[in-house]
Amino acid sequence: MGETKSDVLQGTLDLMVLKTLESMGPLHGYGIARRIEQVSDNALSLNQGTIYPALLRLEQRGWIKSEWGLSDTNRRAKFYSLSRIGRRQIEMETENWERVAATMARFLTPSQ
Amino acid sequence: MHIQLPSQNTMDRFRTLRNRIASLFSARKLDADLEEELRSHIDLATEENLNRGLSPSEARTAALRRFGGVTQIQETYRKQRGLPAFEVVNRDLRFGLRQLYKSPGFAITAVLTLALGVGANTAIFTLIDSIVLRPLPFPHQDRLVTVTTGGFFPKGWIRALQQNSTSFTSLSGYGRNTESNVTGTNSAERVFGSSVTTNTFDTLGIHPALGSFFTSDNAIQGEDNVVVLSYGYWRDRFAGSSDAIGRIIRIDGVSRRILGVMPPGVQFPDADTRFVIPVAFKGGDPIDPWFNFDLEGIGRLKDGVSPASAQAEQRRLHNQLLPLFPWRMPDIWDSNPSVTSLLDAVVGDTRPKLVLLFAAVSLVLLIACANVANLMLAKAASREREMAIRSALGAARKRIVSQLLIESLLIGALAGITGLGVAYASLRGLTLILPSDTPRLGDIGLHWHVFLFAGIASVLTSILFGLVPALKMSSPDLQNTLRSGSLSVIGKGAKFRVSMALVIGQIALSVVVITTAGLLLRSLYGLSHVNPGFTTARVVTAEVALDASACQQHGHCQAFFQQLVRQLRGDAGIEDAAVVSTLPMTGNNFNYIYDAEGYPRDPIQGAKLATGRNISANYFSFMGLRLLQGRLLTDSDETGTSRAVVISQHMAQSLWPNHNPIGKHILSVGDETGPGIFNPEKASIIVGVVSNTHHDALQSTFGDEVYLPVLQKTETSVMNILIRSELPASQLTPILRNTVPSVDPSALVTHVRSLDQIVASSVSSTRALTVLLLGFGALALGVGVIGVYSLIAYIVNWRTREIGIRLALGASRWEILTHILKQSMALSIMGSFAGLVVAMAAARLLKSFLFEINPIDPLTFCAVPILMLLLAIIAAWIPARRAASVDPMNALRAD
Repeated sequence: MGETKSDVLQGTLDLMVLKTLESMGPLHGYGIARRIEQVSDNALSLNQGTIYPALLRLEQRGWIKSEWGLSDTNRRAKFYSLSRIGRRQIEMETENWERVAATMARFLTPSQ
Repeated sequence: MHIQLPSQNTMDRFRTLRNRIASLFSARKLDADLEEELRSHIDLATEENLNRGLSPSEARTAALRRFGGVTQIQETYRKQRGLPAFEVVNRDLRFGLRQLYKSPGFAITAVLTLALGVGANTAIFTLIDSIVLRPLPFPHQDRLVTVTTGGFFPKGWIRALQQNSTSFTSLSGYGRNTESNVTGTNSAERVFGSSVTTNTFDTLGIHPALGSFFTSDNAIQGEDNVVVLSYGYWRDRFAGSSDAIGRIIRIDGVSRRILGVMPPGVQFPDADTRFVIPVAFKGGDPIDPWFNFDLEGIGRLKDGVSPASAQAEQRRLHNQLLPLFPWRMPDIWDSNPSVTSLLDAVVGDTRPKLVLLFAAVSLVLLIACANVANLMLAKAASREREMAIRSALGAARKRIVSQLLIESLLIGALAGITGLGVAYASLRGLTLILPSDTPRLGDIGLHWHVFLFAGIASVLTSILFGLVPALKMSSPDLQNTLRSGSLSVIGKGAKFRVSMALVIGQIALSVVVITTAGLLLRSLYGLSHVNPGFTTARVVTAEVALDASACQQHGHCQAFFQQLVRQLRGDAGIEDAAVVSTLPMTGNNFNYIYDAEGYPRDPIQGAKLATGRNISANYFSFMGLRLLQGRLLTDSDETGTSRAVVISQHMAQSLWPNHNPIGKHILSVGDETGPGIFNPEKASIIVGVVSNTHHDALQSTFGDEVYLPVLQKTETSVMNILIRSELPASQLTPILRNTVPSVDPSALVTHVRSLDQIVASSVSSTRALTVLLLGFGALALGVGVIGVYSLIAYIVNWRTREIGIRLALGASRWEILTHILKQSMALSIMGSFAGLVVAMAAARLLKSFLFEINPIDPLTFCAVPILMLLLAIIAAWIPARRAASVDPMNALRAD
């Protein structure tokens, strides 16, 4: 289970999922994927399927939990929601990302 | 700069691992779950697309496109969900099982040969575990030690050691395990019991299962009429009832109150001890504690005291305590006490025998390993192309090795399980082969150690036999295989070199095992041809016992046995009867300690020792002892006035080599007025010299023997009856059980057996060892023959085409046949040579097990290679015949 070079990207997706669940409440995989696309204004056109390994990863860590339920249109779907650990984790992850983003921003804005 | 990425902490990792492991057990359900989840995803997307106005087929296509590769996601998901390494192993295991299933002949041969090896090893290990390794049933049993000399201590000596020794937290004495007449419950019976000092249970650290143990008061004569029963005796005789406590039983005519019951599993001092009575002191009597030399010492060492330092202390104390005796003791008495751990003392000389068996059986396992390695090599050769293609397709060398090793482990595991079954099944037979005096015989059973051993043995052997073919198969040479068509690396390139080496090794190891067995067989044969010095034909013996208190009435015991012999002579089917105090070769000897005329002795020196026997006058003719000088004893000597004794030739020659022994005097130290004071007036007079006997055991040398008449003052309550009759022991038992009580109703008859049986049991340990080694030798040979056969068959198979060419070019079938046989014999000769060299080196270690033969016995060392050569021919016969019958046309056309 060694971390690979895609860790940064994985981390991004993980945080997006967590944030989505935080703001939207329990949601199925398709809903999460759609929400991420909408928030990023379709700029981030990910293969929706990649959301599932991310969901599995988060669930294995115990940050989210899942439950079968019915969608708005009465379709059986698996709903994901934040666990207690997940809620606590969001704050930490957000902080991390803000620091990374700020660092990157400093690199990218031309110095005066 | 350090950017901390969103990462998992330890708890996350732990939860992840737990999840992954859990998922292994519900993979099927999780797969279905994922499938449904993905389907629902596509459906939801399709639905949304439909709402946006796309046609149904467009909506679904768009949904699938947005999702990406479904199969790919499923694959990634599954990998992430479980434990990939585990799944690889799992897959290899299934693949291995399929491989075995596909070639059942190979699988059965491999598993069975190995199972026999593992089974034999496990069985012998079970013996080692049960007898040598498992602790005795006493708390902190490793602190328990025996304190022994050649002989026995008087109780006063034990008490003196208790008071002066600082090495022990507790020190006790225990007596010999002897049979007594027990009455007072149902019928009278002969039961083994012992006497122990009252603190013995504290030393052992055990508590009564019922009632109580002795108190120190029980060590005072008059207070000592109590008894503690073994758990088994209590259960058998008193049906395990608590009413037994407080009841009175009569032991050798003395009434004793039952105090308590020992805990189950405790066998002290011996396996067949059924009761113990206290050692008691006559209050205020200064001489009484020093009379009877009948105890051995057992102690519990203080923490931090080693047996060696306790022994050093014992040796220091010896000189200091010797003056406590009320008379002057010889200096050599107890001058070298030894302190041994109790377990070692119990196991005794069984340990080296078990080690020998284990060594032999390990060799058998190695032979089986070589066999399986060879089978696997042969099988691997047929899979060369598969392996070559695999590695050409990019399989890592490590993966191929691990795949092959897992196949070996699978065979090992199957063999281990089968082997455990073999061991379990053979255990009963094994305990029957063992001599009945094997220590802890009743404890033998499968304990968890044994399972651990079988597990480790099968894993280690799998690696041992799996590694050679695995490494060979993954070697880079294999790449040439693909290039060179059907030619095989193992077959052609290496010319079976590894396989041949393995077979030679197998033969060599078989030679070592079979030579060892052969040497023991020769010893046993030699022993069976030793003339014991007495005739055993048609002689049945029985022990007849009065209560020990019966002889208090002087002459009663003497008269009883005289009367019994007269009575028995009159019984139908009995030709003659005689009486002797102790039978030869039973280990029960009576030590006749004496001074001899012409050998003055300083009081501080030890007296002479001979084996004494009190006999009825017809004993000599009965046992076929020849008179060499003087006269034999007569009935009239039993009055004691003649003071006549007869000695053995060995004793006569060692005492008076150049003089006539007739008329010389010997004096038992018991009759001396003071140590070393020789009074010819009281001494016995030698009236005759008879031929020697191997009275101890067949393998022992002649010793000094003294034959004394049964006198009123030397009468004993227990004697052995000898009967000459055509009837077997089983038919004589009822006659004896009928006649003996008619003379005295209190007398008991036990141990009815033929003298032949007694002589045979004196070599039972050698016989058991030989039987087991022969068994292992046969196993080694069997497995070895299979090894030779499979190699030759394989070679023949491989060379079919070449043989066909030779035949086509005019070679005769006889030439082909002898060529193959010669090849097998060459292997056998090389293996035998190597094996004999090893056997020669190892033979010296066998010396203590052998009887009167040279460890490098020429007969054995010649017979074994001849046997191996014969077996080589037999093993190669079928493949050689097949080779000779090859049809050249078919052989050339094939492939």
